[in-house]
Amino acid sequence: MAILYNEGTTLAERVDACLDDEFAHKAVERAQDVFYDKRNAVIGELPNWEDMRHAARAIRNRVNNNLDYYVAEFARNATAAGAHVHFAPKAEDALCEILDVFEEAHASTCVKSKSMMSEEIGMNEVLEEAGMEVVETDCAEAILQTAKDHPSHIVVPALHLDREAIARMFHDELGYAGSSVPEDITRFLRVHLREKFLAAEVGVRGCNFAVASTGSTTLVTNEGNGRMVDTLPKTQIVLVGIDRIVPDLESLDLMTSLLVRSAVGTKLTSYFTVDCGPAHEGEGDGATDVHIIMIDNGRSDILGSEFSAIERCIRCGACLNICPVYRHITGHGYGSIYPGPMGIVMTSCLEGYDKVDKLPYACSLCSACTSNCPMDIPLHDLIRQHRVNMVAQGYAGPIERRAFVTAGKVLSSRPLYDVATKVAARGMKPLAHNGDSLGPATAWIPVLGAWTRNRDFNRLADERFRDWFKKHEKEEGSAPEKGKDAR
Amino acid sequence: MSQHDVSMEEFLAPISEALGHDAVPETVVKIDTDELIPAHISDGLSAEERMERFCAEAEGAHVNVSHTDRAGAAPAVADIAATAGGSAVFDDEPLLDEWGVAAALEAAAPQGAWRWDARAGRDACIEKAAAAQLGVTVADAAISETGTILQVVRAGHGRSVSLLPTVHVALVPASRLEPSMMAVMHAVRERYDAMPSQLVFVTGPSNTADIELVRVEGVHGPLTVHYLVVDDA
Repeated sequence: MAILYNEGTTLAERVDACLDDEFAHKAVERAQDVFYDKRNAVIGELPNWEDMRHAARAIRNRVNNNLDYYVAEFARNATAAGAHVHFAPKAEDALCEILDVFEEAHASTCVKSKSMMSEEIGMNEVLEEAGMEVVETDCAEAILQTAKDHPSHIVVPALHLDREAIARMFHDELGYAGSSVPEDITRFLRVHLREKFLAAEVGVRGCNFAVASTGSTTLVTNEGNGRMVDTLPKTQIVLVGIDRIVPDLESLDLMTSLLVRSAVGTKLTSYFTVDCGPAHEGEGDGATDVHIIMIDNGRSDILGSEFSAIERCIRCGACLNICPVYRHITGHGYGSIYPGPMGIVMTSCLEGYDKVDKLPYACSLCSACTSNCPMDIPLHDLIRQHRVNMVAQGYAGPIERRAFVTAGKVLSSRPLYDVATKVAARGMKPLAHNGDSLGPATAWIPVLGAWTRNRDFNRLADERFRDWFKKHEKEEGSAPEKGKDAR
Repeated sequence: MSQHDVSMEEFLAPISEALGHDAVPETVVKIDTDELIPAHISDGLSAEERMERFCAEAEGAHVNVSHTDRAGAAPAVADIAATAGGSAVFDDEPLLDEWGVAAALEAAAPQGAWRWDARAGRDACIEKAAAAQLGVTVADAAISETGTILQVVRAGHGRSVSLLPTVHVALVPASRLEPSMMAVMHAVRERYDAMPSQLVFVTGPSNTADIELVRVEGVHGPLTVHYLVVDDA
């Protein structure tokens, strides 16, 4: 599907559609609240969470600052362990390599565990077009694949669908006859997918962390589908972004701890696997043919830019789980497989400003994401930087440009400013619905309506601060010394 | 299908360029992760406190935890096998013979027990494990901090044993308890010259919350997990 979907729509149109989706709204609100509480509980018991974040930032930075060295080290060690390592500068190169592996293995079926990279390069569509059967085995991904829908969250991608819809869809598409109780649906998937696992020729998976010193790939999973994918099929394809590398096995301790606590609010997932090469001679299961595809797809460009900090991202979703904008416009509002704050930064970098409409403006710059990020990425600063770049490169809209030119003139001229604020205070008074704020009743007014349709806009006070201050100064009779803080 | 295979050198060139490197560095200053990573809660605990924490964390992860000694291991596993019904599959592991667990399983599992034997061939191994109700393994290490066990894949221990059966029993020798994943990784480095093909860290039964965030236990891996801590001092 590649990174963007619903490309024909504007951000405003998508947001409008999402604001109307009551279920998705409630689901996101609940998910944020649940994840927030769980995360806080498992972080609260640690005496040194901030030290851990700083250590992780240091480790990730030091790897990324010499990423050419570490990619080479990883590739060398993975090769020595018996894996085939392929290099894909672009999504198309990765897709060619994947098709080659299928051809070599004379395979036409694969099972797949959840991988954002596979979404990014649009793997499923290409394989299906080539006549392969691709079976998503993560519960949520299986739901989305059957529903032909897009992910709305990077950790729980089917958040926006309710149990009734899911049960109905499995009934229509796969002959499911059970109830809409999540446990019943899950049991059905267990049986349905078990057959697929046992029959598949190829397993396709992602990689949470790639260990340079051993050439190992790792997978964090709760459902066990990741383990099935790397236990049963004889051929395995591992998709590894170059931004997944950690230096050694020891660093996995810290990285999993930060990832799992931030992503799902537990201390460790049910399974964490560290794979190194194919199954050894004399072992009874596991893939005998392992292909690791190293993918750049725009990441080296980010590395050399002012956005290099985003290369530390471990895709935990903690920034989505606290974002007030994500809470309201939900995953599909962003129109990208990477939603939320990390999504704004990544999508704008990888797709370019031409294609992302006003995406960097889907942010209130409140910085909650930054303080929640286990890798200490200054997400809101990076989003702001995208806005600065967009304006500098002429991507701001004509209305906005005019507004800022006017604002610049008014704010830099004392007489104009005085007139403007006095007039505005009077002009707003009759519009106010409860004395002090402008509510939905003013939604008919162009520009202002975009704000007041969903929230109130405080009326300017009758008395301006500068007038009040002057009066106050006179009353007190003690003007603060110029240039000094009155406190 | 592809025009040409991209070489590592071609692949690395833009990365080096972005970093301002003339060439890929031949060496870099080693990142001392041991030094950088902060201490763990379990580092400062006594052996007893570590065990207490391991059990509490495991129970928090929905594992059934029980304690026994060497002599008690066989009857405890036989009990679980009888309740689980069907057939069992178990690691080819000397400790299971030494403690009498293998013989007890063969007697107790209603439809027989099969010792993992890679020489039987891949298809037979997977078929046996997929048909089994119960998988019995011996943990290679355990982690106090998170209630986790480690299974190191090798000829005598297949990935499938702790994955495909409905119930998984892991015997956890108390002497193998480590404070953290960090300590386990140190031990792995020391014990193995070449990396094992897979390290599996297990913390409780497989689970999901993908439908309306409702927790469901048992997705593709075992529905139930038992840790049987064996006092082997």
